[in-house]
Amino acid sequence: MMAKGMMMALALLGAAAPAAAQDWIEGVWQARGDGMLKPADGKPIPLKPEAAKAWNAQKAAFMAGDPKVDFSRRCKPPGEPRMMSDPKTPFAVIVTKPRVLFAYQWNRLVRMIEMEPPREVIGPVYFGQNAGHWEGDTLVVDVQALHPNTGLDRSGLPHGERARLTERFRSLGPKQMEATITINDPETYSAPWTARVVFDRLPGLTVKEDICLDRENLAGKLKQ
Amino acid sequence: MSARWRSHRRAGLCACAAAVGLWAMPAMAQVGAATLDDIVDAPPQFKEALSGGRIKPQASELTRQNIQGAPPSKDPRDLNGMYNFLRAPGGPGGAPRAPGGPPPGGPPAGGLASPRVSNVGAGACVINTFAGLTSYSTTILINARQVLFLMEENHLLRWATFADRHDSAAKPSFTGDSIARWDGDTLVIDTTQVATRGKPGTDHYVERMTKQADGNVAIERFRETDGQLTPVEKVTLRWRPDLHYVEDICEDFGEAFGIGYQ
Repeated sequence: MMAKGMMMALALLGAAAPAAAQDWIEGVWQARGDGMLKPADGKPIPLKPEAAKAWNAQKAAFMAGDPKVDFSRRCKPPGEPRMMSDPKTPFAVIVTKPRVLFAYQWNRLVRMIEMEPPREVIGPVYFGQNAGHWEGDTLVVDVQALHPNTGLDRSGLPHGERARLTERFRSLGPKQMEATITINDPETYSAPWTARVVFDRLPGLTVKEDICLDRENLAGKLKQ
Repeated sequence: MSARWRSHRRAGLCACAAAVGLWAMPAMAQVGAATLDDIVDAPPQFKEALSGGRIKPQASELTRQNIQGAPPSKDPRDLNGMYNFLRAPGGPGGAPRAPGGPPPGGPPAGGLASPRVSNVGAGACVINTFAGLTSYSTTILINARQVLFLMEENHLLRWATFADRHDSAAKPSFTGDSIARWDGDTLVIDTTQVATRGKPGTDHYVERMTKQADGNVAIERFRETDGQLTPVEKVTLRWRPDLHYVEDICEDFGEAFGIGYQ
């Protein structure tokens, strides 16, 4: 009986299962904080003067939800790392050997991380082109080709065409996760800088179905 | 150029390579009928990796796999990968609907809590029902705890967790509440609370998915009513290791066609 049980358990943990050291990231997560990225070293964001001017000009409208500047108000993907650092947007992570997927509740959007070296860019795409690898139990993701209609955070923090992000996700214990996000974007920032976001684990493995256009339609915001 | 169109161009090139049956040649695989026109819009690595209709020896393994396709895993329970689908022509469910086809009605009664019956504004970018497989790619992600189907078109997600009972708090939704189990090497997915746009009530489906030796996945779908299973359709997910997931944002196309937000 015990042998049969062990056989079944082994079968369940077959080739499709992630290595145990990487299991910790599976589940549903939600960011803490206000959804704004800030340098982890406490210094000011090293925005170049022109980028700072452009950001300041539209920041208020962006944060007020003006769909002319924040396209996510028209059900378009907000992009990363804004999406995952939004404290109102839970997301589930599923780990397989070839891929890690971030599945967001908001409009059932997904971010596909292919566990392979970075490829030639075929973007731009809203969630960027994501190449991941494991360093022990830390998930490291190289992000490039971010869509120009996205901001890095909910204030519309800008990025350039050739922005490159390096994200490192590590466990802070059974109920918390940390992401450090290093932004390397010489067009927009005078130096690379790193933000830190902490996430809380929510119960379960999945997130609920959400259809942005249905919500907006019910709210009478769509053209009939 | 749209991601959707780019994806199709890429798929076309890859299909071209596979169709001539020369993809198994190890060093300088010929890409047969691929012409310069075929690769003009292909991802850069394809253009750089091809010379005179052949894959250059120095092409990366990843590029080679993209063009040639990789063999499926031998593990019958490892369904991880990318697919597109074949549906029995004329069978229940009919032919694949064309991208951008109109939804048949409004949100389901009792589903998303709306009595409205028209949803013209939302156009084609809303989910109609859970069996939303299209000719676009489907990615399966599976491990010991869950299985997830990601349909590229309109980023439709279906989830099933390996659990022995449904979530008692689950509410009607277009993708329903799914649990999975193995029956030998056949993956059985039981889905309740499935709402369909324009149709009252909810449905209960059972699907049996079996991986074939060639990597394809055969799916039999049944509707469950009072303990009786009625066949609905048979679908084959075709193994497509030559594809990469491409983000498809229907909301962008919707605006372009004058529906949704303007």
